[in-house]
Amino acid sequence: MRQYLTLVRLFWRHLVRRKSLWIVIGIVGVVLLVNTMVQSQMKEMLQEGVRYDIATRRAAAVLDSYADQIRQGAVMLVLVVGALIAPSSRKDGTTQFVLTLSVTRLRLAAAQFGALAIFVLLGTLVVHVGYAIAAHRLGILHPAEAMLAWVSFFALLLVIAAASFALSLTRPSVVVYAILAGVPYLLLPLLATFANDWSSPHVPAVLRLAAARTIENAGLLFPKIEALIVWPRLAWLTPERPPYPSWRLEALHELSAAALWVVIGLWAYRRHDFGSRIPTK
Amino acid sequence: MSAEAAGVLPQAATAVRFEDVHMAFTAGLRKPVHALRGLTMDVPLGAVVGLLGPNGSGKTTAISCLLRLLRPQRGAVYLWGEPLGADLPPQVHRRIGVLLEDTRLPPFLSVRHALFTVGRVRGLRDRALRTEIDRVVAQARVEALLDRRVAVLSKGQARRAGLAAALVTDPPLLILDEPSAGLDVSAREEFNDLVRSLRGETRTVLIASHLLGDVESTCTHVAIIQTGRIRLFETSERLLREARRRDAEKDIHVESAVAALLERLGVRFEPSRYPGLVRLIVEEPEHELIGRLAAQRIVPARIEPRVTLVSVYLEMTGGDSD
Repeated sequence: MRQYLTLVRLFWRHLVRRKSLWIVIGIVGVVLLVNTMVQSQMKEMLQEGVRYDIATRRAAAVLDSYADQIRQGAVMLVLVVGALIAPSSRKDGTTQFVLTLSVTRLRLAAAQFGALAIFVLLGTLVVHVGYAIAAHRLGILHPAEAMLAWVSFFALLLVIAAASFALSLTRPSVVVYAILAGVPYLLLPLLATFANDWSSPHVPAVLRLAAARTIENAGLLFPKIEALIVWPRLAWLTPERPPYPSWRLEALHELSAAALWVVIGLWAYRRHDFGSRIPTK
Repeated sequence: MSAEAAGVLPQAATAVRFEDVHMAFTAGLRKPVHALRGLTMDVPLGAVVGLLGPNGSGKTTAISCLLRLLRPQRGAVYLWGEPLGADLPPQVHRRIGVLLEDTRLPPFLSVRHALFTVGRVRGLRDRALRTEIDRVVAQARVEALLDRRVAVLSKGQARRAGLAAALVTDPPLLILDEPSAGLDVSAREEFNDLVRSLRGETRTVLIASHLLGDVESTCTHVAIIQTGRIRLFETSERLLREARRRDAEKDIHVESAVAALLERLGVRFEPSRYPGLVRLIVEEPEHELIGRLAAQRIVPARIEPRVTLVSVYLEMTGGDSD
């Protein structure tokens, strides 16, 4: 255990020293800040002379829109950061160095993921506490709800981090981004649009339908965890608050899709060679 | 901590054994490059083996296979008689010290932090850890570097720090890949002194290098690898003795103008590779011949430096440099 904690500390230091990490965080921060400023200015103009209860409701709505932005930004940020640690430590020799200390590959990967988990934990904690205090003051967030929401927020972000990290154990960051972000968010939607609008007298309708279905189903292989994140509010099931009817199936699907990429990543990692050249298979 | 204290070694005559190891690399659609073609070699316990070979001969690939950074496509590697699996087995934990050519200590750590990290990963704690770090710091002479970040060290300093890390827990097997490559003359000499001081009855050292002088001055055994196969494996002493015996008669060159006098003296000679000189074929003790020549006022124009591994190496590899 101590060996593991030593390695986690080593990779934590490695991660927080990555310039790319802070650039990514900076970009996300700037985007959120700009959105916040624009919305604040609009609200200020609208709220001049309004009643207290209306102002509170509007403030709550603003806070909700921030939460929405954070939800989407957090998934992308974690996906990006998840694929930073392993490629960079391979590049600067830290991975090879640790392997030469008779540390097994699995333990090495676990230590790198441990460092990543600490980053996600601290990041979600900072965002959540900041949000929860503001929401609690406005009276729109119950502490129990907030606690539960944070746990699910953290756990789901960790799932997407795991998928991104597992693939990055053997592949460069760019390839991971292309697979987990480029394909489901850019390529497949583009292809789907094309397939849906495709009308050609030379191609039978059944073939066009098959193409559209294939593209649609291919999209199911890629996790879209943001669909499951209900942060900043999550309450235990009560008769007054019935659950979304298909959440179990949805959750099972997204977790399975993430698990698929974790398994692929670990399988490739097990067979990976840490040389400067590519061995013949 | 002594090597024995690190644990009882499995009973085996060899520390490392490569058995018919094959490894090929591809790059795109180009033809595969066969780095190892049935490499077979036994490294005896307690030996300091210099693995010599031209660039691309398979030295680093062999070491990477030994460390499981690469997985051989065929063949097996044994450590103290135990075959290696996908990872280095737990029983060799703390028993191997490694200094690779292209792998430095984590660049973002200070040398002190890096050494402590290595010690902790190898299971040392508290006072034992501090004592061990003090020992390796003194042994590798890196006191002045302790508070400097690895990223800002010069190549020679990084090598010394890397060796200090490799020596933590005093492992009975040391693997050094091109340990003195890129170092200046004084840094190389200093480094070689350090490696020589590591020789011990229980410690086995495998040094991959293409610097023949370094291998000659530090190793007890020499292995020459070429095109992925071991071409020669011999003790350095025997190799040099044999080379000197064969080459002793070729050492003295004199002016070709005295050829007639040499013939009268019954001294055989042949054309020298140096213009204007002839090479004597020595058939008697060297000092007696030089004495006979001196009596005739013949002074050798050139007495070649003693035979080194270079000639053996060139003979074995055919002067192949790539």
